[in-house]
Amino acid sequence: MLGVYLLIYTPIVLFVVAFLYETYLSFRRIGDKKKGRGVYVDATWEVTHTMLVFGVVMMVMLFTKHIDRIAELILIPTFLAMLALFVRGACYIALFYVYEKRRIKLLDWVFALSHVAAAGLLVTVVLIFSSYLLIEQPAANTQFVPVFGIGLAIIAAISLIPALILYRYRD
Amino acid sequence: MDSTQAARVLMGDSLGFHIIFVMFGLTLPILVVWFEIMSIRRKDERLRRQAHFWAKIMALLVITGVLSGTVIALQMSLVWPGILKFGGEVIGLPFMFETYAFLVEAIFLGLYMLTWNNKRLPSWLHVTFGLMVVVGSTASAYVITSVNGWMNLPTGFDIVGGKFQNVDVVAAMFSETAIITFLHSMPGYYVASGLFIAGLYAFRLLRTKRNNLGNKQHQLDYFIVQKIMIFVAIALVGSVITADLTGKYLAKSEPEKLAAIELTYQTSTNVPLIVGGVSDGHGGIVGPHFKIPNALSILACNSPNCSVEGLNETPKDVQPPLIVHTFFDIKMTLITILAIVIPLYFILRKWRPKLLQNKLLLLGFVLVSWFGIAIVELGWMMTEIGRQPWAVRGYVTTQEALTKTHDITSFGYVFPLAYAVLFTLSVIAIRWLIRTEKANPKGVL
Repeated sequence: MLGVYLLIYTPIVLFVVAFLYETYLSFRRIGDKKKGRGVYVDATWEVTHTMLVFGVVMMVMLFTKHIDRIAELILIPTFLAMLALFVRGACYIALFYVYEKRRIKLLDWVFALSHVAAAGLLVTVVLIFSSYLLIEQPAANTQFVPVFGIGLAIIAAISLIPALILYRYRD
Repeated sequence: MDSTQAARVLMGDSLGFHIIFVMFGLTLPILVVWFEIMSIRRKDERLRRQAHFWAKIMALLVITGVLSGTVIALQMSLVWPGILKFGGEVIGLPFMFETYAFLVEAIFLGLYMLTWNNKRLPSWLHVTFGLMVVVGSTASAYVITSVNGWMNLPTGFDIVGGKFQNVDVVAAMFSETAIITFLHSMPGYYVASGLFIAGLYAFRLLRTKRNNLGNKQHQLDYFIVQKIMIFVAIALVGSVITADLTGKYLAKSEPEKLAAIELTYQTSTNVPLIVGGVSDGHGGIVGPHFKIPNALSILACNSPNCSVEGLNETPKDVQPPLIVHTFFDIKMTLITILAIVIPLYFILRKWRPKLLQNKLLLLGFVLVSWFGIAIVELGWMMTEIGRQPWAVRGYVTTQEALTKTHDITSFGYVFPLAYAVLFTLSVIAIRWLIRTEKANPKGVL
């Protein structure tokens, strides 16, 4: 079961770290007088989301026999988190593309608070799921873990090599 | 709206919205990398900037596409838990592999975008990052299509005494359904997005002022349209070939879907292809229509004497909704128009190039340029609605797959609204990118 827990919690921890950093930046830019993108990140957007998808997919796919119970527990906070992510996405596009030349403080605040709402709801989802694992101890689909583990090592290597090459050619 | 309807609306809206971003997410990386390679080979800075401009739009579309994709992944699991509860141990692996593909796409897209202006980075390495985005997005499309293929024709297991036995996840992932659906949908995405982009350039050409005709920018726009149209034409040929394979596959493996699409009520030989009309609900056809003799039998198995299964072979309560016939008719009408317009473009290009500057022709081209997107949407509607009432064909109905513990009606209203807001913002943002590019003295527009 250790492999199962690693597959679920590693991406979630990575997502939380990256997302908290983005949350911090979203608040920091409120007081920032610089126009436009300011201090916010953009290239990490998809990578951060990937970690979330990775964690949630693992959560669900490793416990498909119990998915109706999991859905019962986490559907509402998960969907609310998705709505918060939608607000965040909409604010992101509005801030960095539509109103790029102007600073709209209200939009900055909604953007920052959508991070807090999404993070809070997603942490709630993880806590509910974790307590479910602890209390009801459902059986996992462990047959996928070896194949998936090997694949993960290959993907990590594929992703790491160009990153290292890039480090060599940094500007 | 009851909970089942709300769930269907939610899923339909999500897929309909997401598929637009999928089309561009799969096509733009190919076009951007192709243009970048061309710019390197021709040492053409303007082409390189053009590729960079499209890459910025690609990154913007990814922001929205990732959001809708995340929602779909969660909907599949949480709104329709019955699908995975039944088949998770067979089809769970492609879902998990999708995260790999997604990860590769995300990481390399980040690298690709971050290194556009890195002077120290060899150009081949930058192109490699772009190619890896293509690999990631294409692999992602394959594994998700394989899940859909499995829902249409579940394979890779036996059920003995109510339990799964002989589970073969590789057979499930690389089923004939998955491969044919993938091979048919990919060229469709390429045609749809390529044509739409060519249409945008045609619109620009349409608005070109008389005194700017023939200048460098004008020539570049024509060059881009020409290249994209070559890409579209190749994809269209691929799409037609795989459409034939799909028809034959449906006749063999999903006959009730083909029967619904073609309004074939009775099993027989020498079956005609029915164009137009709608079902009267009692085994007849009403409304204007015509029949092409033997055509369906020939399409199904290359012979007029081939027997094509009719709806009479399927119990009434599990017959697909016959509205798919109307979707098919609209789709075929649009494809026929494209099959005329695309070769016509090349004929004019070769023998009457001046006619391509004709405002009326350009306007016509702009109007048909969104047909590809409509065709893809209609194609997926046919596939999904044509499987009803099943979620996993023959095993789990849509009703059974739906979560029983939550009423998600309110989400059925809220998410479509969220999609509409995001879509509008994305369009405004693209317009902003275009305006910024136009305002830039070194810009490509």
